[in-house]
Amino acid sequence: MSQTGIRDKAKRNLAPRVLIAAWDRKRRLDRRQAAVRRALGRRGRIELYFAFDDPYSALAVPQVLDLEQRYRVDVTLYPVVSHGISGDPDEALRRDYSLKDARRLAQRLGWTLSRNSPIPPGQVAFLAAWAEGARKSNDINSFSRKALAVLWLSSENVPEVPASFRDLYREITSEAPPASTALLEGKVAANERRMKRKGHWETPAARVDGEWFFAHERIPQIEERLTYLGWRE
Amino acid sequence: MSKPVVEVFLSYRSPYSYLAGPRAFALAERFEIDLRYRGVRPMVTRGVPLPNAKRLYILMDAKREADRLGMPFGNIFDPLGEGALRCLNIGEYANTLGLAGAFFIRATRAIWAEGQDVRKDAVLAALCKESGLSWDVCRKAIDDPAITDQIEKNIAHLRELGQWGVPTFAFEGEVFWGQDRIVDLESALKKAGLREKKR
Repeated sequence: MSQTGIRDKAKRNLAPRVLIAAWDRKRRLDRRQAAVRRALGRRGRIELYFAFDDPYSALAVPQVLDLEQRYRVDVTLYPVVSHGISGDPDEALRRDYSLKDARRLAQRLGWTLSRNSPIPPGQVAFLAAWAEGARKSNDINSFSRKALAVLWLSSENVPEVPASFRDLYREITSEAPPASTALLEGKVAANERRMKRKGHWETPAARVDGEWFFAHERIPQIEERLTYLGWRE
Repeated sequence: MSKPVVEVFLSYRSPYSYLAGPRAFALAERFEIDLRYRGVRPMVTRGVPLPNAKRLYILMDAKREADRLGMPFGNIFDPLGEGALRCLNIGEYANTLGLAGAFFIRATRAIWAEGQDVRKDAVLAALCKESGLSWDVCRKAIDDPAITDQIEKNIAHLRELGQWGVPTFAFEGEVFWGQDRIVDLESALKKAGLREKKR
């Protein structure tokens, strides 16, 4: 076999096989590490990267947060504004399709996705900053869950922005929303960088003890991983 | 009375198409439908970007899904380029004989689970034979410009439906993208009054 032929076979055949074998080994290692952490009294970890303009996030956030009730895991939410593949020529098609698809996924859950039109990311970017603002009082989970429900599950129009969300923020945190969001926007940008650095590009992305899942469509698989790692209560 | 039409868009280079194949083609056995196979070129040859993070995620996720479905997966030979195109042309010819499913399922298993290089004549000849196809005719189909034109029409039709990815299913104007959305298609078929055939 020529050198080109060897390179070609390595790229087409050996590389994917090696990757899959390495992944299998990593899974077994993850299981051993989880056992050690458990013995030390620690809990499993789920990082969930989500966006307020993303209908799939409205389905994923409550389902992933609810896993804390059934598994010994801590869920950390990371709101982002920028997501997806930069320069994707099909972005508009994806946006339209995700709404239809999310509606069907919601039906499977017995929920109703009320909105019939996408939300421009800029219109709800402030919510990501506010969610970061709610982190200091440990209210990021409640705020994010409820704000997503208001946006996607209970109204066709984005409620008067940001007035109605101001009330929601107050109700949940007992504080006024942040007057200045510059610092919080920096934290959101850091979340976006963190998601990319760890190896994902789109929301809602759940990193479950080191392994990625698209959270809106892989909840049973996430539960299988948590069970495999021994985190079931 | 003509049967309701379900179109299925598949690519030989898509691991999710491989995972969908057996269930997709079984739909025609389960429901009174006219299942129409539409082969399309790989996404990366259609200008859809595929960053490394996405490539890696797809590989791992497909492995997880294959394990769940009990399908072999992992001894891969990426057919990007000539391999995928040759399979597409043969698939299109097989479709005229009602054998698109047999060939698609067999060829994608060779690609995604058996590490077979479908650029090679000997490999393709064996796959064609196992699928009930004559290699001599398939060999001619590979170079048939009319067949290549048909594949481009399939791609254009996928775009008309507002879709870019595979596997995609279309039924009465509704589009379902993903091997894990077959269940939603089945719901739509039942909602349209189609009952599962008794076996």
